[in-house]
Order: sequence, then C-alpha cells, then structure tokens
Amino acid sequence: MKIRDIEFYITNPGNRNYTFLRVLTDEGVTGVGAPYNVGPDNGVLGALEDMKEWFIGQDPTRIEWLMRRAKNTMRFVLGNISYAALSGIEIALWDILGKSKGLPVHALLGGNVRDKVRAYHGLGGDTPEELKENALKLMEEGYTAFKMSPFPAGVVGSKQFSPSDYRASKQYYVPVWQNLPWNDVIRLSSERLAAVRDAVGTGPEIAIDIHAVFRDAVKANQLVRELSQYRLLFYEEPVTPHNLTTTARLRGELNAPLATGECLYSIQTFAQLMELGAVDIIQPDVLICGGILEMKKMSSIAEMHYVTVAPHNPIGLISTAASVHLAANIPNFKILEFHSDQKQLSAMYAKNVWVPKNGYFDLPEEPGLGMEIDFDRVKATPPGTWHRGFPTDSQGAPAFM
Amino acid sequence: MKITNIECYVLKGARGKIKGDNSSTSVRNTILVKTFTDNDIYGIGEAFCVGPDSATLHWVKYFEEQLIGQDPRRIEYLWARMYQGARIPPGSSGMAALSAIEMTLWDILGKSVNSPVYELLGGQFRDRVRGYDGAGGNTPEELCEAIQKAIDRGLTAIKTSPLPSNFRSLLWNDALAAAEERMKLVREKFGYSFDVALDTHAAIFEPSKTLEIEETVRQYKPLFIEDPIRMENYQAMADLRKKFQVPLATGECTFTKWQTGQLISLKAVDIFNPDICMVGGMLELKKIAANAEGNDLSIAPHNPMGPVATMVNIHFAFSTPNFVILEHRGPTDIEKNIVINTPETKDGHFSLPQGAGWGIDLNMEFLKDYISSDYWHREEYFLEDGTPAHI
Repeated sequence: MKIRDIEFYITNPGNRNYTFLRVLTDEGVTGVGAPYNVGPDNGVLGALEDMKEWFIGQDPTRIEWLMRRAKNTMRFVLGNISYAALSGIEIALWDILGKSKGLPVHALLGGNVRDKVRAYHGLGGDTPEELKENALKLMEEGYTAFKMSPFPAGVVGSKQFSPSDYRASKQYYVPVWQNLPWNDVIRLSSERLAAVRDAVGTGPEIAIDIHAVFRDAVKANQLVRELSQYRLLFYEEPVTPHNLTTTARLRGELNAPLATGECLYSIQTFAQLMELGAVDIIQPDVLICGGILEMKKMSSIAEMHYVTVAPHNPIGLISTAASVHLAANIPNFKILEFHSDQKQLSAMYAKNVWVPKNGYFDLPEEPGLGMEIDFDRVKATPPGTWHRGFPTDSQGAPAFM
Repeated sequence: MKITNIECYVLKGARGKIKGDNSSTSVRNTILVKTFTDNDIYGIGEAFCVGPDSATLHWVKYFEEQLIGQDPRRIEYLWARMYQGARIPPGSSGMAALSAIEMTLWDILGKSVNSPVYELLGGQFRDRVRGYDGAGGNTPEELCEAIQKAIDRGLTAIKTSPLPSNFRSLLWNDALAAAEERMKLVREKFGYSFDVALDTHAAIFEPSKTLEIEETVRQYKPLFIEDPIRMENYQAMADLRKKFQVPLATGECTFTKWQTGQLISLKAVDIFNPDICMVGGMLELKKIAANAEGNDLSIAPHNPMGPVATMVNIHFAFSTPNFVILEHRGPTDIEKNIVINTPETKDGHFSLPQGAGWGIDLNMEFLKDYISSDYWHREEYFLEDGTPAHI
C-alpha cells in the first residue's frame, strides 16, 4: 500500500476555523485527520503543502518512520505549526492502518483497558447564578465532572460586547478581572466556585482552568490556595508553560492536582515536564502533541511517574475520536474534555455523531478511527476570519488570554 | 475470540550442541509459553530463565486461571489484571511468566489480522537490525579466536567480559593488567572498526574497582560497559556513570518500567538493556523505550535467551526509533529444530520478519523430547577466602 495524496481543507462553521485532511492510498483506503487550529492556520496549510511530498509514494503503515523522517528533515526543533500539521497526518495514518487491518485504533494500541470513557463537560456562566443553572442542566444529562474558568467573566467598557465579539473584530479588550483589584478577583472567583459546589453537591468534581493568564506565578498560588477549599479535580495551566520550572515550583507549593500540557508537544518536552515533577495530570492535545503514537508514548512516560492523562480536547471531532481511542487503551487515563458546541460541529461535518451518554463515551468498534468526515460539507463551507484577539491589562499592556 | 488454555514448557538441553550435552550453558533452561484460543489461532512467547523455572511454570498456570475466557487482544487490560492481581509486585519468576504470556497475545493479535507484529507497533522503522553475540575466552588469544569466529559469521560487534573468568582469585592489579592485555590484543588484531562491548555482569561489588576497569579499558574504545556494579542501588549507578567516559549500559536486572524510570530520573544509564522476557513483554519494553526516547537515551535489549525471544526482540527493534543493537546467541541446531523460522543474522544483521504474528512456530513433535521439570543452577563463584561472590 502506498500513499497517493494528502488533501486538506479549511472551513469555518461560524465560530473558529477547522482544518480537516485525508490521506489517500493506492488501495482505496482513506484516512482522516486534523491539525490543531493554532491561529495562523494558513501557516499550517502551507506546512501541509510542503510536507505532503515527503509522504506521497510511501507505505502508510510505517508511521514511526514517516514521522521521524519528517521531523528530522526539518532540522530545527519543531514549533506548533509543524507539530499541528504532522499530528494531523499521523492520526490519518492510524485510521488507514485500522481500516486495513479491520480493527479499531484502540485495538492496535494494546486493546481497551476500560469499557467506556469518562468525560467532563465545560461549564460556562457570567454570574454565579448562571453557572449554577448550567451545572444543574449538565447534571441532568449525566455529567459528574466539570471544568470552569474561575474568573469573573465579561469585558470592561461594554455590556453589549462579549469577549468573542472583540476577538472577531480583532480589537483590544480588557477582561473584567484584569481591571479589578486582585483581592476582588480572588473573592469573586471564590463566589463562583462556591455557587457551583453548592449546586452540584459534594460528589461531582470541579476543575478550574486558569488558562495561563498570570504573568506572576504567585498569583496562581494565591488563587489556588483560596479555591482548594471547594476540592478541585485539578487546576489547569496555572502559568504559561514557557518555563517549566515555574510550573514545577507551583506544584511543589500547592496540594491540589496540577494539570498542564495543552501548549506542549513532543515526548521530550513531556518527559522534561515530568522529570521536573511539574505535573499531576498531563493534558496533551492529540491534534498538536505529535499524534496518537506520540501521545501513547507520553502516557507511558506518565505511567512511570504515577501521572495520569486527561487529553485536551476543545476542538472535538477528529480530536474526540482519536482521544477516545487513546483513553480506552491507556491504563493511566484520567478523564476526557468535552464541550457541547462539539455536538453542532459533529452534526455539521461528521457522518456519525460522538457525544457522551450519561457522562461517558461508548467505545468505537468500527475499524480505524470510526469517524467519517463529510468532505463535501467541509469543501462547501469556506473558512472565515478567525482571531483570538488581543487582551490587555488595566494599563493597556498586552495580557495573556 | 477467547483464550481457552495456556501451556508452559520448561525445556532442558535445547541450548546444547547435541542432545545430552551437559555443559553449563547447554543445560540452561528454555521456557516457552503457548496461548490457545477458540479460534484455531495460538500465540508463542518465551520467559526468562531465572533458575527456579518450575516457579515460572506455576505462575503461568496461576495467570491462566485469570485469562481463560478473555479476549486475548485486550493486551493492556490483561496485563494490568495479571500484574495488579499479584498486589505485591511480582519478582523474577512472576515477571518472566507475565512477559511470556504478553508476547503470546501479540502473536495472536498479529495472526488474527494477518499482519507482522512490528506493523502494529508503529511500523517498520529501519531496513535491517544489527545484532551482536557473546564471545568468550579466558586468555586474550582465546578471546581473539572467538571474535574471529564471530567475524566469520558476519558479525560487526560482540560482547565479552573485560576480565578473565578467574579474576575473583587474582590480585586486583593483576586482574586489571589482564583486562588491559585482553583489549590491547583485540584492538591490535581487529582494529577499531569492530565494536566490542564489555560486560562485568554485576559481579563487582565495589564501584571504585569497576571505575578502575573503565579507566583501564577506555583507551580501547569499548561500545559500552554493561552492569558495572550491582543493580540494587540506582544512586550508586548514577554516581558511577558521571565518572565514566565509556557509555554505561544497564537494565537487564529490572523487572518493571517503574524501575527503568528511576534509572532515567537518576541519570544512571546511557544505554538501556532491559530484557523483554523479564520486564513484562513487548508493550512494556515499548514503554521503556518511549521514556528513554523522551530522555534522549537509546536501547539495546538484553537477550541471551532462545530464538523465540530473539524474534520478539527483532519485531521490537524494527519498530523502535531509539534501538541501537540486539544481543543474541547464535542458535543451536536443536533450537533451530524446535523453532520453525529461527532468525539468524546475515552480514551481522537480522532481516525483516515475514508472516503474521512473530512469523515463527514451534515444532511440538521435536520439542516434547526436551521437556523437563529440572531447575537450572548457575555456576557459583567464591572469593579466595571462601566468601560467596557475585556471579
């Protein structure tokens, strides 16, 4: 079997851009994959265009060889664009392998360790009351684990504009909490957590996503110490992981479980993260971390450090499918991210819809990934302008988002 | 597909040149395991020969009870049930049995989809797999003869002891002089384009002594020095590695990925050599290799066992990026009769396995004559004053 071509299409269903790709073979087997939506997505398309020549004519079952060869020929340590492009292709190669062997991907990785895959649901709400209401709705759907932003929501200067409106217009915006006295941020965050804990009761698990917004690590320390009273499933990305020793320092100071990894790629970086004792739960994203095999390897390294794996999955679709296969297989799987906007996305682009039932995904049984993308729909829906915007702090300086 | 039963065969004499050969290496046991399914497909694996091999056989029977009726393709799941079912982590005989059973499951998975196992592990990463064999010899001349034989077989690397076998009864400075003579003659005769790995076999108790060996032989550029000290204290290994100029290889005495993880964390190793027949099988060795890869370390599997273990290692080696070289013993005629498609090197390398699963089979008719319930005792050694020495 030989790779005949790699096709890729970018599309925007109304919120952000998504890129889908397919790897075609001379035997008619086709694999689907997707790179992460990094922001400058034309860069990813350009990378795919350059890289596809390295794959055409090659045996798609030589996954390790194809990936190592591609990485090595780039010489410099790969960045997020190259890693997103390669991850997308790698996933498609596993889809091809599974289809050609008649086995679901999890069966190729050593089989399913578990019968179903637990998911946590993103939990939004501008006010404590909204959070409460949304949490109760999700409980009714069967979810028992949630992840929320601890920060008071909204944008300074406008009641009509939401942060996403500002992002769409590429304007500068000031998240509300950036403009508040720090003690008020902690107090309001605590009120948000208190409301959710009160609504869901003592059993369900609540994670918080700090989303690497702090310039100074000690703020994360203060916030997590305050919020730990509500018993956290984990606190995610307390600081930007550009210096892993800072993350390690925080984990050493705090008792709640630290989760991080969505901004990182390659087993070497994850090995370093764990060697530093910087993490309790790794959160690689299969669309950017290097793909299925690289994530399996990270999970193996994590096993040796008594670290668990909660795959990052905000994009959904291919990411959900690949993550469910991995989650079914790896012994140290923790929980998988899920957001309800993925339902609409699935309905639009996928021929079959993957959503948790009673808080769990069923295991896929079809060969390969088991997810078929409607490429006609993808091609018929053009990409849009998408941008994360430019958050600033109260003094107008660039802030983290 | 369901597992119906698991059989374990402890063989004596399969390593012999002829039947009934009783030399020390010949009577080392070969422990083979076969897992049967309700689907006519069966899988083959090999356990490490730990000595009290009847214990391994009993472990296999113990695990068999857990596995009957299970889907053999759920390898991670069955591995976890076996390992975790023991509560107290298994030691050498338990892990040897678990390793062999795990291998049988990959063979079954491969056969069930008509695919060689390496293709299910990330695919073919290289075109050929470099192998090395052991070369013995008490005197430098005997060692050179053994190396010449290896070269005649096409090998491009061997492993030997830096010391003569009577080193325990020599004055230490004389032992060091003997080490120097051995390596000096080898390099004079064969030059530096042939790789010589050295194995002190965890037989030296004092780190300072093994450091003196390393200082003595480093000018002769060995490929690596293996198990320079005992493996009970990883920190001591790490301290030693800092002072070594020759790459330090270790890992054959580890039972689990967690132990190898500690070796990595302590920076105690340059080249890993865990044994697939001891660390829990293929997937465990892949995990160890992944951790090594993530930490920029390479892996050279320990493999003194028979053709089944060698073939399993070949699948590992073909699919693993940071593999460097594979230990193996040239198979005996008896082994070649027991294992159909016994792998052998050509020009110093193994070629890509053919066929589904491991691509080998057992000749049960031939094998049954070697089944034995005997233990295998290693030769014991004593210091001059009668103190039991390390082997």
